[in-house]
Amino acid sequence: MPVEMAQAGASRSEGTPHGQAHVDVNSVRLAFGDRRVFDGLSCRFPQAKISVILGASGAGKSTLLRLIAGLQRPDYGDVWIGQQEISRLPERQLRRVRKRLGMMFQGGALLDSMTVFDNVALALREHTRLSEREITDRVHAQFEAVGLKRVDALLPGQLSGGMKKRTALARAMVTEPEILLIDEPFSGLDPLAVRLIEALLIDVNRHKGLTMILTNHHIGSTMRMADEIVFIVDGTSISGTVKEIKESIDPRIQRFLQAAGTGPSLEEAS
Amino acid sequence: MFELVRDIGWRTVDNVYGLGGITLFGSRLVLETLAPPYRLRRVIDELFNTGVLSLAIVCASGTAVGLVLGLQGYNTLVRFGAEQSVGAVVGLSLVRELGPVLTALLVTGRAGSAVAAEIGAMVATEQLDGLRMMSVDPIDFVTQPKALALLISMPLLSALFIVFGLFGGYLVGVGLLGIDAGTYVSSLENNIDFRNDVLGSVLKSVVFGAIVGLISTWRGFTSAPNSEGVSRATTGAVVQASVAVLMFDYVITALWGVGI
Amino acid sequence: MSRSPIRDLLVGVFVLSGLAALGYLSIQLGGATYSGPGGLTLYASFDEVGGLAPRSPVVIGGVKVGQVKKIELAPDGSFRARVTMDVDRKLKLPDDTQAAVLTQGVLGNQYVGLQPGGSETILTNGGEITYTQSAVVIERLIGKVIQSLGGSSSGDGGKPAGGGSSP
Repeated sequence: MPVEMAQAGASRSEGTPHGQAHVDVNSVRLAFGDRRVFDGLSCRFPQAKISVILGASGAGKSTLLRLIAGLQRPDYGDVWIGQQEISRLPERQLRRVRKRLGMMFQGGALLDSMTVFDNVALALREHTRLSEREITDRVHAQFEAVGLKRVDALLPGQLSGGMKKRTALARAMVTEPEILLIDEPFSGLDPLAVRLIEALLIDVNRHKGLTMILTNHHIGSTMRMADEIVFIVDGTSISGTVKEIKESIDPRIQRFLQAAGTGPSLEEAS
Repeated sequence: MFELVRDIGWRTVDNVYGLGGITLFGSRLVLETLAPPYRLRRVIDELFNTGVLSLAIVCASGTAVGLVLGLQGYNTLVRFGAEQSVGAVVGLSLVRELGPVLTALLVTGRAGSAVAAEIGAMVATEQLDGLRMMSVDPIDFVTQPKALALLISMPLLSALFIVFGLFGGYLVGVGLLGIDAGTYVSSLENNIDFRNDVLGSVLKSVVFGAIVGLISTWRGFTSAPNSEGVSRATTGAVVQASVAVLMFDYVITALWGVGI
Repeated sequence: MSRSPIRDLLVGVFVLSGLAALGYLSIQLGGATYSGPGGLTLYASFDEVGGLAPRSPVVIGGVKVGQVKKIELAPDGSFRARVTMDVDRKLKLPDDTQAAVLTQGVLGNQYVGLQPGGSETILTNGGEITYTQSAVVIERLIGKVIQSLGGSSSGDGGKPAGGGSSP
């Protein structure tokens, strides 16, 4: 679904250099007690592109994602999804905005008292008037899209890490959102699984034209996937394409990339 | 010294925040219960968890308490030659006080803690956030069925506790101490009044059910999203609910005896 | 989304047994409420009703036939207590029936016992029972006994021996 940009003031720019902005974070400040997380952070996430929020652990990657999801409110600043400013919306209206979003949580966040099928079908059962037949069809279509077989009656506790991620993806996708938010899609996966999930996500983006925003501390996959990188450091962000970031002269970025080296992923304890 | 005063002040403010929090939470719960969707399926599932799984402990404890009451009651009454009234003593104690209160405490420990732990674990594993992102209200979907199940289970379990207690008293009185069965039963029946005793008992257990339902779900809901937070929420729920039950027991007993 | 029919069955069993327990407690044990037919209103005035209260049973020969509806000061200014009773409308009570306020057992609840007379006239709805016997109030009884004993020095003559319930 194409989203029209509001023609509001200069602070809401018409787009990033890399495409129309779908999500716009504006001069956000956030502190937890004494700990400052964001100090005037602004960034934009282009539509229909894969954006990766990169940074050291504790830098605030997940927090930024939660700001976009509306699960966290900033102390100061705005968060725009399309034309809608969401950081000051009451819960009820936020719920309506969230129907355009899908979120994949780090641990899957599947309801462990319900089967895999029921988990994925939940949003459809709650918000649509589809018949059970149609719901079954859609859910099974999603299972196929993410490569899950014969999982319907399993409980989340019986799934492997990779299967949990796939289920979470299926659940996020089944409502056909415009924007997909993904928190650490590769955490806890072996290198093969990482490649598989990576391919899956790229595939989804190409086929459905979804705007995807991921947090990642895995450099390799980031460099392979991202159309746009938002690097979080010192409470602010630096955006750019993969090429721009790689060639950046900012010493903090260079340090981060060097620490990662060309080897396997930078697995920081987080 | 100044530290102490500041500490007390801060704790008071914190408690007032907490009180406000639980009141808001409570009113959300009531609203969600009264408004559709009614989620009958989930309420039934929760009834299994809170009610059916508490049956064993409630019935066992009820019988045990009845046995003790019969024994103690007899020992005391026999001094006044009034051992024929054992039925009344056992019955009145159970119906008026021990039934609702002990059942509430047992259920708090068994089901209340489980509910707080379940909800707390869901907070820690982001399941509630997951629901929010699917535009589902976690209070409506998760919390309300659990609280409602606790509310419904309490009077039912309390009645069963009492019945088993009466049976326990019967076992001791008639079986062991040689009181005539008919005397026991008629002493029971003649001295327990619906309005004064049974109705008050049911009222108490319903109120206790509401208290335990509210406190355990609220503690789970507001727990810190880590395992330490969950464990604190669970123990906190049991302690707070137990104390609240005992305090409300006094209030209801006083009002019920005075009014109507 | 039904997890298992066994669970549902158990929930059903639980709820039913709980309700049955409640029912037993309310009806069998608490059944001071007379739940039989009513429809015949009768009045009786007493000097003293003692612990009689609304919903106290009205009894003939040990059988509950109705309940007390209201107790108030008699409107005729006689300072007697006027009791309104609701009894089974099928009863044919003669108008010389006696009503007494009695006590169940020794320490029990109070009730109205009716002793039918032999008259040919039958009480109709709203009828008045004229022969009444007031409640016995223990304190007054003790007082009378003390008085009649003429004040022995230790003043213990009127009190029944300890142990056991007072008469």
